[in-house]
Amino acid sequence: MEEKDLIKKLEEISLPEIEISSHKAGLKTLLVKKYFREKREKEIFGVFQKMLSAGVVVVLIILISASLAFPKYSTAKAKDIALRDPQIKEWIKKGAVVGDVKIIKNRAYVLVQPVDKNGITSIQAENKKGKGEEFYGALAEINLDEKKIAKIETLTPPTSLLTEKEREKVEEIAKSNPEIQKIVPKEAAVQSIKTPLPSLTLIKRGDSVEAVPEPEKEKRASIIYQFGKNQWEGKINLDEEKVEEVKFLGEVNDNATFDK
Amino acid sequence: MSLDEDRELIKRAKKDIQAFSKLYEKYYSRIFGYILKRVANLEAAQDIASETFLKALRNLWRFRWQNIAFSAWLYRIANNEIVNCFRKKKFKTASLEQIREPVSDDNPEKEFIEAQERLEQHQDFLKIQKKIVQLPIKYQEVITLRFFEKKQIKEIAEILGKKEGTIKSLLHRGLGRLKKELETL
Repeated sequence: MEEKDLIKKLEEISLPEIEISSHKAGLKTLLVKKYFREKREKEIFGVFQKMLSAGVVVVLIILISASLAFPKYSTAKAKDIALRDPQIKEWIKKGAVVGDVKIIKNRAYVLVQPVDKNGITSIQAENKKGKGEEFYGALAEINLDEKKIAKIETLTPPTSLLTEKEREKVEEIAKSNPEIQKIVPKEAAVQSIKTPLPSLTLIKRGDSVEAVPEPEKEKRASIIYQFGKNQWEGKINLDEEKVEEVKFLGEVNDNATFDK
Repeated sequence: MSLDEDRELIKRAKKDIQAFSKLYEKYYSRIFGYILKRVANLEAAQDIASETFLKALRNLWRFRWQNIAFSAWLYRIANNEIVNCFRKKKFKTASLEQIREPVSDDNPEKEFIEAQERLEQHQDFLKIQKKIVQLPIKYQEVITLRFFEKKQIKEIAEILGKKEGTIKSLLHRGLGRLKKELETL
């Protein structure tokens, strides 16, 4: 038999067109009964679904809030532990503040830096051995599980990035500034030229953190004049080549200078 | 019934029993007839048709318009129920008592017997159908839809959710197999 013959046979075959009306009627009755039952169940389920959806949304909100709150809780807990340390308390009393906090696994890293109205500064403070030293900043590592400080590392300020040329530029800008000419006596000599202490931030490095200076937006320097025991400071914006501030610092005290 | 009409009717059927009844009346004969041509057994055809429409009702609330005709969706359900029936190889007899209502003074059992006799008059059909059911399901479906339901390739593709090329290929291979089966007659 060829395929076309088979096709012809299939196309021409007499097909049974049979319907059992009693079955049709009976099935319809059954379906109608089920229709109302299904509809009722669907309505109940729909309400339940809405309640469930609402419940799920509430749970999600709680979970998200908790997850957002949790790191804050750990951060707050870390700060709290840090502030209980006598050394850190000492620094705080002298003007330091808790800066950046980073959490890695069960450890918190808390940055402490002295600030004043002018920004980051350094302070004289006694270390644990009772020796006075310049304090610029410290990084405390806290074990959150044990709720105690694992170690405190004092930080040394980064070395100045002022080149000789930049230093000359600072002097030149200051010298020609009318405000400085007005406030600072002619007899005053340049005591020092220094860059401001940068604010530090913590960055994660593997399982630990490192305190690094925040990137400078603009390059700045301070020029300190001294005449007798009096000192004056001029703040210079090197990028804009202008003096931003001139002020009298008062009588000399033993501030460490990082630049000359 | 156009796709848009189908869509509108299904939308209404979810809320309105009248619309649902309309759907049922429209498609019962077609689906029952298809099932009968697939299984050539009245009892099985009744059971499968019942299951098909019950399932369609159950899923009506979740039905999302998929841009195929409602009838194609019903054919798909029917196909699945036929496969289930062949796998189980048993036909429920309880439904006979549950789902038969006398529509006239005639005895439903009498109607069934008469229907059985009419079926047995189609011996040519029964012989070929006996061979068709020995083929793999994928060939049974395309051959029955094409030659017994007189569906076009495009419609068959829509019902089975396959590409037209695939349908043509299945038809060709199915006919080849059927030819071999018939040669053993």
